[in-house]
Amino acid sequence: MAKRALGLGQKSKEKKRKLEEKQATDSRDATPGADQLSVEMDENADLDNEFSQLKGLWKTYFASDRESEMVLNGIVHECDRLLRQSSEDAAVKASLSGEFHSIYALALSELTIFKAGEDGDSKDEKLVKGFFDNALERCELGQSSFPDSALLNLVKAKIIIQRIPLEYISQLNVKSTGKRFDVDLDDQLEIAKKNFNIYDDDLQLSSEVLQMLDDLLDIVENFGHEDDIDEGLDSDDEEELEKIELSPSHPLFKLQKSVPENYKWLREQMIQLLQHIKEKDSKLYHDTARSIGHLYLKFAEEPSSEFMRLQYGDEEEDPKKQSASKDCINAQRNALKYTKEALKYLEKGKISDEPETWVEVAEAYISLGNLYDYQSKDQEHAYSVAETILKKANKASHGKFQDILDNLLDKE
Amino acid sequence: MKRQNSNSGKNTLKQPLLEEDKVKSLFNAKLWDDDYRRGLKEEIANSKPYNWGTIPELVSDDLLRAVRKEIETEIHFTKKETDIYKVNQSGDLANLAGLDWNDLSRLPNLYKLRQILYSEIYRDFIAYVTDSGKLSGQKADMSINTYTKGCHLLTHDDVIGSRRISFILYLPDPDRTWKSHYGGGLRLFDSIVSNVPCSDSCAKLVPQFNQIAFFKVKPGFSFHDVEEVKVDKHRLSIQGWYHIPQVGEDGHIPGEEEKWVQTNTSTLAQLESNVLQDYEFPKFERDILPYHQVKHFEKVLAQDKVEDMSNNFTVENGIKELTPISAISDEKILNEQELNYLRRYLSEQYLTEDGIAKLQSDFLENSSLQIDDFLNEKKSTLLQKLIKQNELENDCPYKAKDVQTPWKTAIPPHKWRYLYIDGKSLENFQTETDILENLNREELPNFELLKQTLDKSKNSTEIELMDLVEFFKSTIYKKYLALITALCPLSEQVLIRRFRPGKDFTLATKCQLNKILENVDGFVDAVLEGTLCITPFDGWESGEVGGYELYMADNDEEDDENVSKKSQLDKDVEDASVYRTDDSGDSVLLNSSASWNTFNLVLRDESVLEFVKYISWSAKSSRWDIKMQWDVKSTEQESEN
Repeated sequence: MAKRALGLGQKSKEKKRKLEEKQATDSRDATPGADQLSVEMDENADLDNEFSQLKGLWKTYFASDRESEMVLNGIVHECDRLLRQSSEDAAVKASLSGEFHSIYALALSELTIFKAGEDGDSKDEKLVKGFFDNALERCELGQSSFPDSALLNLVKAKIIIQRIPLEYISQLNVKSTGKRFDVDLDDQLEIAKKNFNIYDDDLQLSSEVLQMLDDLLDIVENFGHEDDIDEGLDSDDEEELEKIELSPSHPLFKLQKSVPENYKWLREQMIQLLQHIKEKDSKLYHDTARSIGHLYLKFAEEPSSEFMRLQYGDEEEDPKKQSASKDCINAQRNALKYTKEALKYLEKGKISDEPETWVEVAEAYISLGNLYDYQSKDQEHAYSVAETILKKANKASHGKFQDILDNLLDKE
Repeated sequence: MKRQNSNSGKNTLKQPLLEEDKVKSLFNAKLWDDDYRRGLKEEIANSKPYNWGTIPELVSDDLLRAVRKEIETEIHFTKKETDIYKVNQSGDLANLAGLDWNDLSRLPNLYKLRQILYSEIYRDFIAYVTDSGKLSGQKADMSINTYTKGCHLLTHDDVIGSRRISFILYLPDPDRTWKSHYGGGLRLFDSIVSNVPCSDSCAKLVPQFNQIAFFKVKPGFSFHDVEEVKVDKHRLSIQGWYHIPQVGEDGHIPGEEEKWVQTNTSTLAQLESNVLQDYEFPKFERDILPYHQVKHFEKVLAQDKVEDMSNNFTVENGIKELTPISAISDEKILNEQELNYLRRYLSEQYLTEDGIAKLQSDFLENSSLQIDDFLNEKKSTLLQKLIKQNELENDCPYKAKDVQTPWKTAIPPHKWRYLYIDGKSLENFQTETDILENLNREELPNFELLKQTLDKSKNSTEIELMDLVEFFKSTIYKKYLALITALCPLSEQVLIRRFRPGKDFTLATKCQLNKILENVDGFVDAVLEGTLCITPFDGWESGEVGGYELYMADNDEEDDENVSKKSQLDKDVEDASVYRTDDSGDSVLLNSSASWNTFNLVLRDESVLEFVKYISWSAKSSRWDIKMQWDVKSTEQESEN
């Protein structure tokens, strides 16, 4: 009979004591395996092939929560080693595909996330710039050997889109003027867009690039409001941010002007991406559909508020009522069109055990109801659909959406 | 867990006094109006659940805006999380007077605010309206907290040291109204009897900029909490206390403070001193197993090697005797019939010879096991479907009075709050009489009987869970447990628990051994504790939404030497503190986030603290688990003999 286990508390004291003793007697001994990582490989992967291992490592990192700088450094070093080896070993050289260069470039650009300091330290800026330059250089070198690699093109788009906020916009404030950088940000974005493609072998990567663009456009659109957003304005639906107009000499001016155009481009790409996703119940499919829904809602914002203003605004009787009424109808028509499209995609993005995704649908129905004529059948119907969904979601989430529901019932 | 001396930052105020007129002018003028004062005094005297009051627009708007600005730009906050709170804390404000001039010049408005809050005229006003008796002007005791999304402070009574009045001055965004659904409200709890607050709060204050709330610190009664902030907003506040007058101050009575401190041990001390155990539900008392069961476990463990028992014969003193047929065989391995029973619930990988050997050696090595995918796929899929369905489609009661059989609410809420099924009849304690009646006719758990009283169409999840409990209570499962732990179970308790988002938690407590079993040969002074976590939704891993179960070492024991050097008063204050320092990494023994189908088994000695962290309102679902405890004995001695 083996001795019985000690209590957890005593055991931990004993272990601590043993550890201290061990450290005291053998302080030079490294602890091997302390940071071991398990790497998932493709089913058919050749385990001895170094490139397969590299690919497995990258995939593991890409799918993780990406908090390990060490793993990234490992990938970069391994790429570097393989590259050096390739000059002597023909077999290795033959294995360095477009994918190899992509992984190398992606790893370098991902490292910038760990290098960027919070306070805009100029040392960090240089470091970040260096990594982005290297990443792009690696990508372009790859492109010279593999000019038809769609993956390398996509990687280039990713690096540029990641670089704009992280390296450039982070240095700006509302008052920045003049030519600050050696590149034009708007032109850079155009280059990224040209290189972007929906890459069937890695739709996740294509999706990530589009999400990054979405974030970038949001940053540019709300430039100057970062502190307000920190205070949590988003949780209060009655508050809207006044857009901060940048001066024409501001480095972001052109990019800000082209935001609507770029949102449109983004939306079209997202729709394309959705068509390429075969698993209709995958997270990627749902997330993409919801993103498209959100983009359509964004397009509905302007005509919606125009309609609300013209229809329910309490200004004095407009002398040009005739034309105002025409504008009003137009605004209503446009807003309805976009909102209905949004609903179509939000429905596709619904996940059966995530009430938040149902609520997005309900909220779009409320927006739709607001756009229909006051107390019309359509309006009543839209509100009642929203109410049913919200009640269900509220039950499923322990009252999390009570305030939205209260708001809706109040409206009715 | 180390409790910090709450007196550490309180200094005697040494500051140039503002003139009384100046002080008065910085407060809302109505404070100095006799009718208002009388009205407020009456309101507070009659307020429920205990004496408390609030004043909107307390001080000059300009002053408080300036204070807010200073705090935003000059003070650094650190997020701290323990079993009882999650909050962004600044340092103590009491030592402001001791800052150098550079620092002082950085916080002139805060300095001014503190001066007027502890000015004689304002203290006299507070003493008058609350009928508290004189308040100390020397012992200023303030801190600044900001509650951001997810921050909360669970139920406590503020009884520490010489505190007489607690106050909170709120400073959320001055240009916006703070709404009820943002959370962050001050909630007050009525009490069933002294030191046993009701499970749900009965009053809630939605804080606005420049509003103060205050109450008399009333031992055993002044229970309150800070509701979790549910949105991305900062609920900034200055929290403080007025103390009993100190030596040399007007109103000082020699010995008053010492007497107060000695008489009023705090909530925590009360809980730990076991005075209130009768009023705790569920009781962590394990029912003693029948001896005919235990003796089989003893035999299983006592064997040095597997004997051939195929004929149910055993050799004793050279005479063959017939062993009575039992639910389990006395062999040290699981026979086919036992395995088949276990297979109905457990994964095959933990039933193979290798699987069991691995669990045995891991348990011996670590005194704990964390077993993934414990239930087999069939049971796991069925339960997951049922629990998910229950979460998504059924209304979950949030008030204790709405909780229906087979569920009950764990009380008191300054120790824990969650829903549980203990296999006994419905209890729903609203009054002292309810509790006393229950104590007079105690039942033993009977899950089978309780199950039969349930409506199958409404309680399919509960019925399935109760089946699972019966499995864990089975003799064969306990034999399995004995095999993997080499410990013989003597008693057991099994509870089904559900921790609701925005509502439930347990505070850190130690386990208690079963006094009745203490003298049993080989009795182990530790409790074997199992938690099968069956939380079907994701999002728990980072710990951001709470719900994790944490085991930690109690560092107090190691600090005994240091403690002995402190004065008795210091020790009392320290023991009485509700607040705890945050967990330093090395005291954490185990930390498991809520998950699906993970079984944790721990041999927990008396010094080990355990808690389930408050579940954030933003968690996707409740945390569900089955909690099991067994008193155990070791048969080592016997086998050596």
